[in-house]
Amino acid sequence: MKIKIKYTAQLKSEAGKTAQEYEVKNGESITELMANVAEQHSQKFRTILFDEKGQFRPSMLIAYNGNRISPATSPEWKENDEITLMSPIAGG
Amino acid sequence: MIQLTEKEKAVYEWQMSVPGVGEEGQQKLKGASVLVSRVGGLGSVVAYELAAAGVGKLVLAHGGNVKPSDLNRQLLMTDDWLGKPRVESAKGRLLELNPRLEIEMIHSNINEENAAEVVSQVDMIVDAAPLFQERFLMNREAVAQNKPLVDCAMYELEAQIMTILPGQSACLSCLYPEMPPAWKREFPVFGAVSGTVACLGAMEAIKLITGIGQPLTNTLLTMDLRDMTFERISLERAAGCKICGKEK
Repeated sequence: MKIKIKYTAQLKSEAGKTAQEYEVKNGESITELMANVAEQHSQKFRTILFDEKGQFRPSMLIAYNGNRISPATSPEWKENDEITLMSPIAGG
Repeated sequence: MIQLTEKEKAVYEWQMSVPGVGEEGQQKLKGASVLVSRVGGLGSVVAYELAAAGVGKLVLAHGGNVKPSDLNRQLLMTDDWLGKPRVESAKGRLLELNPRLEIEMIHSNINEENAAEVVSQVDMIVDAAPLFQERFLMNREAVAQNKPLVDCAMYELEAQIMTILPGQSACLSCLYPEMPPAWKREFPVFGAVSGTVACLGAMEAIKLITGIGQPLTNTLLTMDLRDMTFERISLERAAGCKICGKEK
């Protein structure tokens, strides 16, 4: 089923778009989803999401339909669900 | 409760008529002290709005001198102050607006040596610092000293804000359990973006001081001014948070 993945801040800049559609599989975890999505983007995009050992960076924020969610979670996906991947930002 | 002078009643007449504020709310603002760190793009506007609202004391922490690249967004810095200390420019501008304001200048950024002492001087904090090292120190001290913290951030045409009530809502370390490696000190931004989220941050501080409205706790408000999208992300405290974790 189709879901929408939205990006913010540096991830948006690296992705070159604010959002994309994604065909998610039943039982697919957030971590699996991110690994699959990262393959479609640049190395820099991947290094924002994953460290050199391939581990997901805990400083990334992920929201599932407006609620923060753990990357280990496998939501009960529904058509038009939204995942937001948020790069940390600060002030200045 | 601190009393208002006749001049103050005249200056704050319009906001005292906001439901729930009144003279008592204005007295609370006059008796309040707020740390704003730093007073750059975000902190300048936060401090200006708090000064305008009649907050009694501001502690401003910001090291270094005014640079040309500050002037697109750091609205308390002026062209004639280039090369001179930022906090002194900030103090001058704020006192022009509100000469009744008490200002304490810290001529450095928040660091390991001064964080606990600076936070101990105030009732609450508005975090407007560009480095996560500073932000984590303010978060740690806010939790340790049980003081509210309003966290403002920006990037390009995006911004976000959350309010932290220690022991009651998610803290900065609940969101970011480790130093974000991708964040860089210098980033693209317009002053209108920092000013937008700074006004929201000042409003959060005013709400907390006066007790009106609902603070933005356990919620990250995100905005993208490129298409004017505003969203609320629901948060929870992280049980394993090394700063505010419930098992501590």
